[in-house]
Amino acid sequence: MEGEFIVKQDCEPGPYGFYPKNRPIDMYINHGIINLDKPQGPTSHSVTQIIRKILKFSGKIGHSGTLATS
Amino acid sequence: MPILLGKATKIAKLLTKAGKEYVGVLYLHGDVSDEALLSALEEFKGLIFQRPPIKSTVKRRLRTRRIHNIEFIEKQDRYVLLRVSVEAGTYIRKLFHDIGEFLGCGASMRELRRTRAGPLRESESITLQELERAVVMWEDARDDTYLRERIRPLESIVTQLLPRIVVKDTAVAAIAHGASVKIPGICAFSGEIRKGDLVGVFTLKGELIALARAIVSSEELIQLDKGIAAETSRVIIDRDLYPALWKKDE
Repeated sequence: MEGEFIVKQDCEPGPYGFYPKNRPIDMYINHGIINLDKPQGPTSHSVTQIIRKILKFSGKIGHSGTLATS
Repeated sequence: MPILLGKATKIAKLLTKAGKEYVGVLYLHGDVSDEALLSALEEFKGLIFQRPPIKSTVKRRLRTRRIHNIEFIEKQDRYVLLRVSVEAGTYIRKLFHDIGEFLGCGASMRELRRTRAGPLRESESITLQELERAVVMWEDARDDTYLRERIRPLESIVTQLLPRIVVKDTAVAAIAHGASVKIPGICAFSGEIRKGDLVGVFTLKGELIALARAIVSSEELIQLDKGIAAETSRVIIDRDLYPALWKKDE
């Protein structure tokens, strides 16, 4: 989806919000996606629990399974 | 395996619906010439019919799926290594079985590994240990560079899956509260938007405000100066990050 881009009117960003890469770290993590090399063995659910511990993250964590539609 | 944190859990369905790539072993139940095999693989590229297998979570009605590519990697005796790139919801075991039926000798799937889910490639994936080291660098040395490299903002994925509409800062809060995307608030947009498409609505800084359903195409957007461009279907951004200008007289 990196095709043609059409400018309707020239706009400049104001003082609000953050460039996604420069979000404060907690906010950055809360908008993050990890492309994880899932270890053999533990279930997807327990892997998400390990990640929760590593990141000390208390928000929602989801995963889209390794082979959901094989 | 894609792990979605916080706000990113809201785009899970986008990843589920994205195209997938697998590397798998097809085991032939009889002897087949390379020529016959390659021409059979050719037959299965494009639109195919599939009925979901008995052990599946969806309704077992005949449906079509697009096979973007089947690449022959190597063959040893009756084992054939293939790379297949498919539309979401394609059953690879079924595909391999059907290739065997087409060949006449029968075939089954022996190994399967997903190598890509949407824009997320297995070759670029990180281990739990790498993630842990990045967290230690952040906690002990106050250096979050590694953590920011290991975790990707949801925007970097969404821009690769959906066409975009970028709006002015003054339009953000209304959309963040569920309002539709009005044409006068639009700064720029992707050229390939069709009516009915799901689009990502972004701030000028590149933050994903919401997912929305386009009600006009890009061609129409070029012409129009007022009206509604898209109906907001899922808000992603923190509601209060941008000021609600309609409240300024309170």
